[in-house]
Amino acid sequence: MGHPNVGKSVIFNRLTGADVISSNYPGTTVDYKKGLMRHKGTDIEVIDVPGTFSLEPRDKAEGVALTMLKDNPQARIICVIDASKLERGLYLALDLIEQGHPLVLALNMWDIAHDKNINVDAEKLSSLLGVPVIPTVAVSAEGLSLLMDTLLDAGTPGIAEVGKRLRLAGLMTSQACEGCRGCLLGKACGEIPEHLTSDERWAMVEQIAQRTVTVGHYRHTLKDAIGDYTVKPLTGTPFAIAVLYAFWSIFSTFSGLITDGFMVKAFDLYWLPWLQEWFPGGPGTWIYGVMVDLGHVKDGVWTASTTCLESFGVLTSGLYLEIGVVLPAVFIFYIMLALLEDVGYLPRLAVLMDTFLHKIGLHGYAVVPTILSLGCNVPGVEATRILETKKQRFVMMTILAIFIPCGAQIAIMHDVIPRYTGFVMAYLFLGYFVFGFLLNRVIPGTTPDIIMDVPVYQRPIMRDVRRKVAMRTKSFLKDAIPYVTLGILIVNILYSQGAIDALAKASAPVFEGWFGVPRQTAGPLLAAFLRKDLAIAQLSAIPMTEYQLITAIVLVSIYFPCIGTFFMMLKEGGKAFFGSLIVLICVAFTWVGLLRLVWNIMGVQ
Amino acid sequence: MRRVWQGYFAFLGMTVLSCGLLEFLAAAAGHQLTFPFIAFSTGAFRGLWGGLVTIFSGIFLLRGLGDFGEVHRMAKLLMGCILLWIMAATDIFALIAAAVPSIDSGRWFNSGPLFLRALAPPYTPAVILLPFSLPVMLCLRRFGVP
Repeated sequence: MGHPNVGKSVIFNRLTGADVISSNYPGTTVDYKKGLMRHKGTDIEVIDVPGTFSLEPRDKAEGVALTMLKDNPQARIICVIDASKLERGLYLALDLIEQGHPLVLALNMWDIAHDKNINVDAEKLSSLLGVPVIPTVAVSAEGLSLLMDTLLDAGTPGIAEVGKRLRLAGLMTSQACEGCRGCLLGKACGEIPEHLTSDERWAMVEQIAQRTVTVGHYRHTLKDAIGDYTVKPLTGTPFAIAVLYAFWSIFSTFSGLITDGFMVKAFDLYWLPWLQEWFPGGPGTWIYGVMVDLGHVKDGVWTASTTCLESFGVLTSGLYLEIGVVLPAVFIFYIMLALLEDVGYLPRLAVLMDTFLHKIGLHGYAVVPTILSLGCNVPGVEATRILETKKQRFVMMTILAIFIPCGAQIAIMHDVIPRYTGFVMAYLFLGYFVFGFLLNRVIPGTTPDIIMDVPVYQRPIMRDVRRKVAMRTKSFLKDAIPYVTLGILIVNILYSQGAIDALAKASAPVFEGWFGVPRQTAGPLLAAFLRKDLAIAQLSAIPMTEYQLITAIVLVSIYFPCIGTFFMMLKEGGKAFFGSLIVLICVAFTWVGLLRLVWNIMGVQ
Repeated sequence: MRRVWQGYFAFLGMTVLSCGLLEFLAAAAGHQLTFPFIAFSTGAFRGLWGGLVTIFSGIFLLRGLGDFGEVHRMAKLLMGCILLWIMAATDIFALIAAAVPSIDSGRWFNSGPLFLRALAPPYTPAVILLPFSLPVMLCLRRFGVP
């Protein structure tokens, strides 16, 4: 246990060899994770919980940590404290001691404290608290072996005992205990209560810190100065604009290189012709149409497709989309996201955006779910747990599901409408703020102010970056390929049975009359429930003008969440999810209708 | 010596700022500016957004002038260089990415001569100015900034 962003997940990974995602910003872990640690021939179960500031939960993620603690009252606790901010962590440690949990204190980030000329007397701290105190540097595994050895000696001194030790320490350092006022709370040892008030606990923290921490002269470094400038609006905003430029530039260059340079060739010149020649049954059979190539009718004659994108077979379009287009894009996206996370830039972006996000009922930390959603909406919705109130979670979840396109979707957009991807993204982000602002006005509830903890910039550890990218990419492949395959299969079957045409005919007044897009858009919208990237690729095969295509892509992006996000919203939002759905439908009609109006005013179709 | 460094970075800052403004304005007007060795990018993304970043880079470099031993001044100077490096690095990456695959359908990669030809000038202003920003590292060491 410990505060957010003190290195709990890194310690957990090191102890258990597990692959839990850890990052250099608070709120990375929002659910508990279990793993096994083998120590001296014994298997010990280790649980990683979300960060918490005290034993009174402020948000859902902290609630998870405390429920875990209640469910496992005999568990030995490794309380992880940032050694450079000992006072803040000690409050939680005292809270845990007071509750009678067996405890070991890990003074993590020992190296950072040392760099800042902050010295903590670990031995003295241990003698005062009556629990083992181990200095650690989790990222380099320093001190973790000793931490494992000490875990079985976890102490349960009780708060009164800590008080007595403090008093004793006062006497030992020749401080006269006159009237007991100098050491603790003005109470005699026998009167030290079993449970302290918050003020009493802070008083105790102060006493302990005074006796164990010495702060030497520290010269502000270049890293500190740049850290400061990147959170100040005047200097931080240009820097953020440059970082986002780099992010987008690398993303589009890399995905363009792999997709246009190699994948298009591999799939269109080799894979598609090979399948067209060798697939059993050949053109005209039902299975060939579904699996390889639906083809198209030209001058009354069935003509084979020449590209995988237009063939719409499970083995052609399906594999091309996920392996040829989306995989390179999400891969580079995850690399850059991991670097930004581990460098420590995301919390700075959160501080910069704080004032702006307050206008939509959120605060700076809303940047975390938003950026995670740009990779995949599912972890983004889960990350809304770091927000404190129901109102905030509702607003965040709703605008995430509607307006934030996932990495796969962005990749396909970039492939299908390279010139207009920026416009679509800008229109979606505008919707994010407009409807966030409106929801903030309409939804009752509060938006508490928070104090954000900005970590120091760190050089990312490439091993952790590699592991994080591998985990996220694996998870993408595991989720995407079955859904895309299923989506193409269902849509192809519905097409062949005439169901899509019937649906398109029935919904023509809405599509053609209100949204101004061809009625055939109904087919991709069905597929969008499974995968939005698939739906956008399908849209590209429907004859329409580029303005209609932009409108249709915006519609696919916002009309409904994909299946994974749908279930995550249901899980996280409960009843509120249905409210989100109503908002979603209203927004889809308004925002897409508005875009059509813009085209009409501009005189384009 | 301090004056020499200040003069150098003042000149670099002014040049970067001018290039950024030119790039931004040319992109906004939809003009393609090309000289024998320098090509100003067009388009909303590289021209406008990239031009804006180059402008910020120039401003940071100019704001970083002053007391060179002072850590906050040096931080601004370094941030100006970082923004320029971001622009140059993304331009070089895009240049290499365009040079690697062959446009010929029968080949996967460009041959050596074709690859080198694709890397030939003109370059963007950020790429050309990149080497001139590297002395900032020397400057940081020279003035003992921690």
